[in-house]
Amino acid sequence: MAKAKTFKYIFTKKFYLLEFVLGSFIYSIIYFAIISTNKFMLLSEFSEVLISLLIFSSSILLVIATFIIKSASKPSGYAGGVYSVIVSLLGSLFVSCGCQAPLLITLLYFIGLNAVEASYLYTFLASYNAFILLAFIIVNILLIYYYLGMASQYTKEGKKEILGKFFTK
Amino acid sequence: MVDPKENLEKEIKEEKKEEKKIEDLVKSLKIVSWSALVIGIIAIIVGILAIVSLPKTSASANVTPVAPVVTTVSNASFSKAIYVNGSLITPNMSLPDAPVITQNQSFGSRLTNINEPLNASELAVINNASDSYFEQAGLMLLNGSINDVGVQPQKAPLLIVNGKPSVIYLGAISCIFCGENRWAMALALGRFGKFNALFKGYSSFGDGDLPTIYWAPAEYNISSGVDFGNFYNSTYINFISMDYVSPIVQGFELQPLSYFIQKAESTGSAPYVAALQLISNLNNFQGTPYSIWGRFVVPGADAVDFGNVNPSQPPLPLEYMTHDQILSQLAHPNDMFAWREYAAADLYIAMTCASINNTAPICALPAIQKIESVYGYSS
Repeated sequence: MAKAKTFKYIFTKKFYLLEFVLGSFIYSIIYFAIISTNKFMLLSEFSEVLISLLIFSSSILLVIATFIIKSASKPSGYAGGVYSVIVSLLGSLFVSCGCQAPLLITLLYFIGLNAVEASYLYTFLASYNAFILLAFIIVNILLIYYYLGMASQYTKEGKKEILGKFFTK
Repeated sequence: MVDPKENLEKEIKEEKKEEKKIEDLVKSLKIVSWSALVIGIIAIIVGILAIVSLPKTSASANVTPVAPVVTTVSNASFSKAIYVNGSLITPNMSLPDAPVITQNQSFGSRLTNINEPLNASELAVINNASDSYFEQAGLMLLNGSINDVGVQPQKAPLLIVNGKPSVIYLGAISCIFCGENRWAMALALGRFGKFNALFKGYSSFGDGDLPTIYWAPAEYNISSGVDFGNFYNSTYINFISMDYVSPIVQGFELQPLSYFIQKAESTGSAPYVAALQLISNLNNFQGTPYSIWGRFVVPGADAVDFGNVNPSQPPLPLEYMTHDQILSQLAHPNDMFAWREYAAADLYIAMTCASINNTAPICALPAIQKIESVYGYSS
């Protein structure tokens, strides 16, 4: 319950709402920039839904991580923020694997893979990108849940619940 | 009477409150600016990478086309050729496990006439396409009235098989771009030789179900395999073709290059093994279609041609066309779809001509010579 209240508390603040909107916008721009490296990208409706969910959940994670960074006296929450950026980047890269994946394969050559190794990764990602996106979304949701628990320490509702639990015991 | 000490304490408290507020604001601004900086830097890096690897297409009308730079992939000497002798692969004319489907099916999930050989008049559209169409399309490409056609080739050493330079193609029957690109490829190859057979085909259901041609009957039912070979003959060049095959009713699928190499080795064809080793060594494979036209690697399709208008989203006009309609358009080009296919073929022809010292009659076409020089293929 404290997590839900914390979620509501965070997302009713203008600052965090703005961060959510901007985060989603930037992640969407990154996604469109990446898929535009293909001459033409025919995405299935399922993949479109998955990438939208990934961007949406990554932005929520970014906002909660920022709330923790802002509220915590000790450094924490940075991992969530960085993860949110990385996962949306990777998700966009993986979903761009169709007949062609010029950006991803250029990156693979850049890090030193040869054509055979790069083709292994590319064909794997092209075949399973929907499953990988789904896994990213699930991890995002789990992290959101974990970070909300962490964030609830810094809200009134969360503190009340923690104290309530402590005193009822 | 208000106690001055109390008043002072109150003021100090309020000041402290204000200070804390400002501190909090500064703290939040710092976090926002750091987050924005990190996201911004990442976005810039991704943007730069995206722009660098963006495929070059010709610009809009009234713009003099700028010749793309032909890049070399390493310091290896591309002037040297690779010589291989051995038999090419001639596939079977029909496959019992992948029969011709004769019933009419609906767009998006149709396999009507899949694996059916093109009849003589249909084959003539590809084999006997008029030079004037190539000339007209070439001029349109050069004056900028055709868009979405263009390519940035990379250099490769010539693969000379049994004394002739080669055109190498690696694709997948399930791939939408391979499906669209084979029309232009066939038109281009038809200028250097003849196809004794071509087959009606489609890209996979998950990749547009576009009508296309196959170089050989496709094993469209099997879970994984490679269809090697074709029925092409030319006095100027060899055509080495391979398409990855997977269930056509599913989506796009592909296996790594090592899979192709292993399959080629099992055929015992030295030219096919050499072609795949060349592709591996060039380190510029980016997916399918991938083709080498003499000394030029085209890592992708050289055009985006899904109908008279290229929409940014499906449905694509080409999805709703039949083989007959496409062949009819190519036989008498009068719309953007057909001109784009001919223009895309022109680029392939120009690359091949530049690789065979312009020995084929088509190389004498003014538009082809102009393309060779404008696009830097002849240098």
